[in-house]
Amino acid sequence: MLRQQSREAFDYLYQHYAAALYGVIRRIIFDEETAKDVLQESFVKIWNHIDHYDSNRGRIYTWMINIARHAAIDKLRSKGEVMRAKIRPGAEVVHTEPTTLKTEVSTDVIGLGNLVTALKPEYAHIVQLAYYEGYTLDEISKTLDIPLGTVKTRMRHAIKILREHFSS
Amino acid sequence: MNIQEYIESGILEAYVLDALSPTERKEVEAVVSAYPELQEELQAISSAMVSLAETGAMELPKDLKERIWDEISGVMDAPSEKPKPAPAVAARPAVPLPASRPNWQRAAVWAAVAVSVLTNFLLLSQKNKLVTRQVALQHKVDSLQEQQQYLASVVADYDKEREMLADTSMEAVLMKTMQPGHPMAATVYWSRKKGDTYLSIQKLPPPPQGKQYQMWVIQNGKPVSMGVIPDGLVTRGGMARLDMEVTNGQAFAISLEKEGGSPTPTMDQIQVMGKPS
Repeated sequence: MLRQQSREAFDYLYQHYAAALYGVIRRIIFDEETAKDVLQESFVKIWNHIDHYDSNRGRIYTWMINIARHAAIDKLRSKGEVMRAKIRPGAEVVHTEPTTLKTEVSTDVIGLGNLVTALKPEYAHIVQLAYYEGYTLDEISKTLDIPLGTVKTRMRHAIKILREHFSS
Repeated sequence: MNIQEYIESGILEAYVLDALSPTERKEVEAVVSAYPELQEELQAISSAMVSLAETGAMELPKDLKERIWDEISGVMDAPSEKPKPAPAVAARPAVPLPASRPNWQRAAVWAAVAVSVLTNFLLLSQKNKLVTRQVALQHKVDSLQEQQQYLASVVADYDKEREMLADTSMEAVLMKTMQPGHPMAATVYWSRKKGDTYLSIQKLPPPPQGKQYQMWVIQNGKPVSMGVIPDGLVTRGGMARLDMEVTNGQAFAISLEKEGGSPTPTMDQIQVMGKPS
């Protein structure tokens, strides 16, 4: 009985969220096997923490997305530079030469076609670092050597464009 | 706190992306809980993030679902069946096991969440649509109201002007440009008897940044300030009553002064001037 109920909840969860979460993970981790592991970890984490989930912290969907993102980013970081280089050659440029990367943040990194090409490079770059690489604002500000306030307003602007896109 | 500024700062986006330190996150939560406008904004940002994830959804590998279920149900079964040897649990240290919550409770929570997530989703998307439409309508009403108020004030100005001109004690003093090459003009309507003065501007350029026009009356050879002229009157035209009661004067003038006006007029900045007949 309990098992059956859980199975139904799991089916629901998987059917509604897995593909989106998998998409988020695959954009951070290109290797399919590793991405599968990360989705599995994320699901178990979500399953186990649902009773710790604090409804004040926003919508459950964004909570799940953030779990998947962080699981993927942690995996990326734990596997170190070798993995990083294998997955996305050129990502290292971020740390040394931010100016050259501006033009390199391409649609296939984020993978959402004309949606993100609509963003100017300086906006796309910040979305890239924050969303797909898990940088905090402070880290972004230091990495790109731009003021914290600018990071925040660019982030706002980038998401505003996404919002307009999705609301139309 | 200025809510609009707070929104524009981009901190809510950073919050949704989980790009804040724990301290900052707590602060945002405290502020947001106090302002419904911020809650709405947060909701809209979250929706965009969700849409982004959904747009990027990818086809799932076939074997994955059962693999994940095996792990989840394995964990569930573990305590009720014979205890597994320790290494089996240690094999996946990445999975944090919840402290001591019974499994039936977790299943019940999940069932409830599944239903409520779906319901919330439907209600939310409906609500978002309504809110957007309502905001658009409110904007329209606001701008119509503004237009209407503006037109009403223009009409009232004309009414005043007509009535004033009909007043026989009213004298029109035309002030002409004092700056060669810059045609400017303004008129003071003055009732010497009643002390009333009205100003009507025919042609004055909008004052430069940080400057304002100031009205003067020359009484016994000395300029006396009648106050600064609101920029609105200059740009919009029309007529305004001046507060000061004037029963004697040999001339009227307008000069360009620093914002807020000066105690005495800057002589080379006198724009227009005129004498009553």
